[in-house]
Amino acid sequence: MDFSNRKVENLRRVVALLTMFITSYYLYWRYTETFNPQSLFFSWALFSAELFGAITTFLFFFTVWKPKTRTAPPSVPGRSVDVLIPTKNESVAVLRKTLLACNDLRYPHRTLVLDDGNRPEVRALSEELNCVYLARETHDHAKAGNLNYGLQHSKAEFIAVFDADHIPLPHFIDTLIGYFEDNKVGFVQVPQEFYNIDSMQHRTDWKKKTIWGEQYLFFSLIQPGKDHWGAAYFVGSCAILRRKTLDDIGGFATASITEDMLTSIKIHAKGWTSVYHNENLAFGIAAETLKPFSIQRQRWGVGNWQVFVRANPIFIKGLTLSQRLSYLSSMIYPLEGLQKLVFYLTPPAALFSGVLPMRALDVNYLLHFIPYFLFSIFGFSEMSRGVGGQILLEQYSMAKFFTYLKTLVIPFFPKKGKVFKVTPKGEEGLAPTRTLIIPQFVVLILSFTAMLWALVELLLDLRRDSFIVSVNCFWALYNSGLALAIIHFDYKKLFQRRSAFRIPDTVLASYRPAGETAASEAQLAVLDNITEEGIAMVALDQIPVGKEFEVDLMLSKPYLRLQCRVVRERSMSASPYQISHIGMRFTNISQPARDIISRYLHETAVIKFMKDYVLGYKTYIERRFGRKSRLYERAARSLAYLPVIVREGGGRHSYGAIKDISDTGLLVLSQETWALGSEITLEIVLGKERISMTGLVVRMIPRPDEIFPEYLIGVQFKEESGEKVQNLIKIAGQIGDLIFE
Amino acid sequence: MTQAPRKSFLLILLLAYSLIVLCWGLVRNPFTTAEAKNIYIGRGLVTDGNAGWSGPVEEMMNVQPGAYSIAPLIISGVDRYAGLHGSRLVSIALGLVLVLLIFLIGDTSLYGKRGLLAATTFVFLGIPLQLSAFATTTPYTALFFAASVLLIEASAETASSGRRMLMLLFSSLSLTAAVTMNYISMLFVAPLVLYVFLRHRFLHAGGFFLLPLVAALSVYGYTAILPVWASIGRSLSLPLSHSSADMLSSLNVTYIFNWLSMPYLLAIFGIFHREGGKRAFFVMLLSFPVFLVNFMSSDLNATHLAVLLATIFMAPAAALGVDHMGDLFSSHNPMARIKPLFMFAVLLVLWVFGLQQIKELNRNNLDLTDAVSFLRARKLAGVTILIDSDYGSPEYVYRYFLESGSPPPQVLPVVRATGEERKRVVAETKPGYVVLDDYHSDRSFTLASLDYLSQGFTVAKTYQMSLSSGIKTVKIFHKGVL
Repeated sequence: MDFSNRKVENLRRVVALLTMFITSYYLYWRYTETFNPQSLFFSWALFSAELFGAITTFLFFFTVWKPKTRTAPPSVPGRSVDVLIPTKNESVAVLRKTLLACNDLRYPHRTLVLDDGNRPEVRALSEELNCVYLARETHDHAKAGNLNYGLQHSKAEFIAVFDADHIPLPHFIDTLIGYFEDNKVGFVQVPQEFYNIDSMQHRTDWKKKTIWGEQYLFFSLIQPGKDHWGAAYFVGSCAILRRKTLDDIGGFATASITEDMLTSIKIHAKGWTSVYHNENLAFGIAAETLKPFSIQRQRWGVGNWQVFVRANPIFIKGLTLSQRLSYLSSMIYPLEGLQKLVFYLTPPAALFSGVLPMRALDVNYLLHFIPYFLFSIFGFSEMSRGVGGQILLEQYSMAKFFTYLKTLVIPFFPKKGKVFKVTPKGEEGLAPTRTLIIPQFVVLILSFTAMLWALVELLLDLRRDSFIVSVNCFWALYNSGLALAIIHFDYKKLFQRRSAFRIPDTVLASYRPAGETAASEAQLAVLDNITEEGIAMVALDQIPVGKEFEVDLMLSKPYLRLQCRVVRERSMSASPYQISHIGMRFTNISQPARDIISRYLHETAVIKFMKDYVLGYKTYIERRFGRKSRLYERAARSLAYLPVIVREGGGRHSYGAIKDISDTGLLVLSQETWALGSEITLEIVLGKERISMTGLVVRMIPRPDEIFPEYLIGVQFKEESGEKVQNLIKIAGQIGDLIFE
Repeated sequence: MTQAPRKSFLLILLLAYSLIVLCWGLVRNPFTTAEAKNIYIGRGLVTDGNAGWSGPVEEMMNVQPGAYSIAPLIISGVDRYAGLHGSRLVSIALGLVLVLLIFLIGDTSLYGKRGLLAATTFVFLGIPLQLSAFATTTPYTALFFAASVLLIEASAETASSGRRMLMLLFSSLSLTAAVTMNYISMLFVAPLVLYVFLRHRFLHAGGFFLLPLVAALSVYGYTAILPVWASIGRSLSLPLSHSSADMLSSLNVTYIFNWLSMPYLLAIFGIFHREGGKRAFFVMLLSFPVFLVNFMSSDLNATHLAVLLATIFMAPAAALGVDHMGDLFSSHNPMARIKPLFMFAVLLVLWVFGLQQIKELNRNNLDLTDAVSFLRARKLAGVTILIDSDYGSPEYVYRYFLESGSPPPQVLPVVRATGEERKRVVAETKPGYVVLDDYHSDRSFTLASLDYLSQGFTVAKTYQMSLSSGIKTVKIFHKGVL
């Protein structure tokens, strides 16, 4: 995210100041002029909800006033690093991926598996992968206690911490270790990014290739904002901490189930500084459904209150004012549950009773409310720098409000809810729980019933406040929409068939019926997604479900040969071809082969596909006053997923996968490089047919990877290819329709 | 059913619904003073060629400023041969054409082909359509105004330069026609000119819209406005100097808010529409002159017309609002059926709101049926009836209903009179009956009652009428033996 355009940033700050001024005036006017003496409780409830909204908005503006962008300093060799992986009940499959990636970390290190589940299978896995296995006899203080146990067995200068599902990239330590050359730096944190972008926390448009993540606002803006105030905090994973700093505060803080925040407060209070490096260097598994999402948020909410009571950032010694405000803004958010409850109940209450939480909903009220409302939206949109997504945030508020309400009650019970509950991951995290959506159902039913009630009353002339009814109906409809979206999302997850996220990728493969040895039977095809369990493939062929194949994944040489069975098939006719989208499951896959796929997916493919997706949007000020991107005359492109054989003049040939195609050229993924400007012949494989075309290599972008090298090659067609190209574009369009159906 | 036939089918359904609502209004709406005034102006044109107006010119200006030769002629002509319902049926036909024009405006690509939604929003808003159920100048003016707006929109989409210029020319003529029908349309001339200049090249906008408009309006001004300019001046200054009229003005502002709050609310949502947001915002800004209507006239009919014209202008923007609300309320849910469901819910709310608005509108119209029935049952030949009212000119309604007598009674108004004035009028006209209302000022009503009682009148009948401002009383005083 670019915060460097001073003009844009200054304009945003002006908007923020204006918003704060208008909001303050509106609230003053609301307090002094609008309370309904007939319903003081109702008036106070709505006013308090609005006031809370204003406070959190102001704190948000303060936090993100000047987000910090950092460039990683050069790596420093020769430091000792221990990687701690705390685990309790995560599956071995999830943990295996993380440990494989930890083994691939380039910087010299030790990996310590801290198993609070004392599981023999985890011990065996650790031994198999040459990691240190540690298990406590007692399990006091949950994750923090476990980490402290790991510290007792470590003498390293630096401690890297990853949750069991967080898979680091090979250069994780190399990128961050240089920050510790500044002796005041206590810890370096990077974003917690997730690769399962169809999770509860994500909204993905597969066709437009855009993603919105519920935590993007925090990781791509709030943390850089806090970093500016010296208050970026440790989030429990994907961080490196200085051992000396941890010793200075007595290890990871144990007084809260959100040990990360409390640890950060203690570190900052002791005068250490923190660094937030805003680059995705590890990818984890986001909460798949409402259940793990709610468990996670309840833990955070309760933990926050524990911190609020035990190490309140307002009163604790050693923090700066800006650090206090930053922590405060991250701590009071569970009160949002109460605020949203008021917002969800106000329309039904007004529609049923005819009583308003203000004196009148008249022109005077609207003249005050509308500027406040519009500026709130505008101000938030600008200050959230295009990752806010107001409606989607509102959806998530709807999903969380009851959980947050519970966190307001749980601290008053001796034990309930105050124990550390691990967020379920992988298949475990997919279990939907219908009871969790009861609050949303209640909001939905209450809103609709109230709306119908009031409309019928109006029709029967039992009331005359038609404008008030209409406004409250619209508000109730808005709330219903939010509730319905959450219910629908949870319902959709009930029918989710996959056990692991299918990472989108364009990989060339060849397949032939199992048992066939003749090379002539092999067909080329392009995969569009992969997991450790199977693949999805686009083929111009008719392939029945149940048929067995031998597939060569052309990831790197030698190719990975796998036995597969077709488990799913969708096809469409694109005369004269039959396009099929085929799902195949691996049969008898060996563990080394699975490990190769896992390492490819989580250390290479995940970066490629995340780069293809756009996060956030351009705000109004950015569009209007920001730097204009250089516009290239580019023809519209269609994703193609077609294999191609590339031949050069000298007889050299290689295989590739067409990523996309346009009127003027195509983009090929290949493991071999081609000289810029060279004339090549492309043999595009359409089932058993091949279309031959000629073109010039005009772009060559290497994707450096030691194990899985890849080149993106831009080819410009020569003039005579016109009709063939149009045919190919048509087929590509149909392939796209089939995949994204 | 494919897209186009389904759209046509839904449009026919909408027109059928509009017809039902309009016919319901035709039967249910009481005869209004504005209708009565138009009929008398029309009759006067035929009989003495002098607009036939016996009341103060400023009152006439409120109802039928300037152009006394088109709408009132039709209204009174049809009334003569087919009665009031006949006149109203002509308005209804114009109202249906108006719905069609709104559909066409909204169906331009500028509004993303949302004609059906624009027409539905317009119809469901209630008030705009209901105003076409009256035999007044309003439906005539609205029709020409809408045609002008449509031609502006359509001309912007036309590729042919010649057709574009022709459309702009007809648009300017149509706008002139709207102004000559009712000078309240002048409110929107400046915004429309600005709009045309922003949508078209300077030369086209200037040469084929502004120039013909200025020329036509100059002719209109010279022939129709200039001769009665002094009266217009009085008309404009009158509301500002009279406390009761001030009250009327503020009441009219309330009406504007009541009737335009929904289109504005919808248009505000339209501002956030992905495709048409800027346009909705722009149209909303251009509609603001509606709030200046009280500087031109304090008459409720002027407010009605201004509201209707503003709604014509804003209906497509409001439709964008409904569309955006569908997106917003469905919370970008990928389920295909969710958005139409929420749009349906919004339209349902709008429909109920609109029905309430129609009821509210009817509460503003005086239903004088009871008083007229009472008077009709009396022997009124040669009798003078005084109509003492603080609101509108109800005497025209009484005159219309009582004119069949032979000879018909003389119906005279006493407008916002003081005690002394009442005494003088009673002494001069020697009325048999006095109809006294208190539509707005209860205190003066009590005093007026005492005035009449002190002059020997007795209360012959008391009626109660439900108006939007509350239950109001009508008293009929009589002198002598009933």
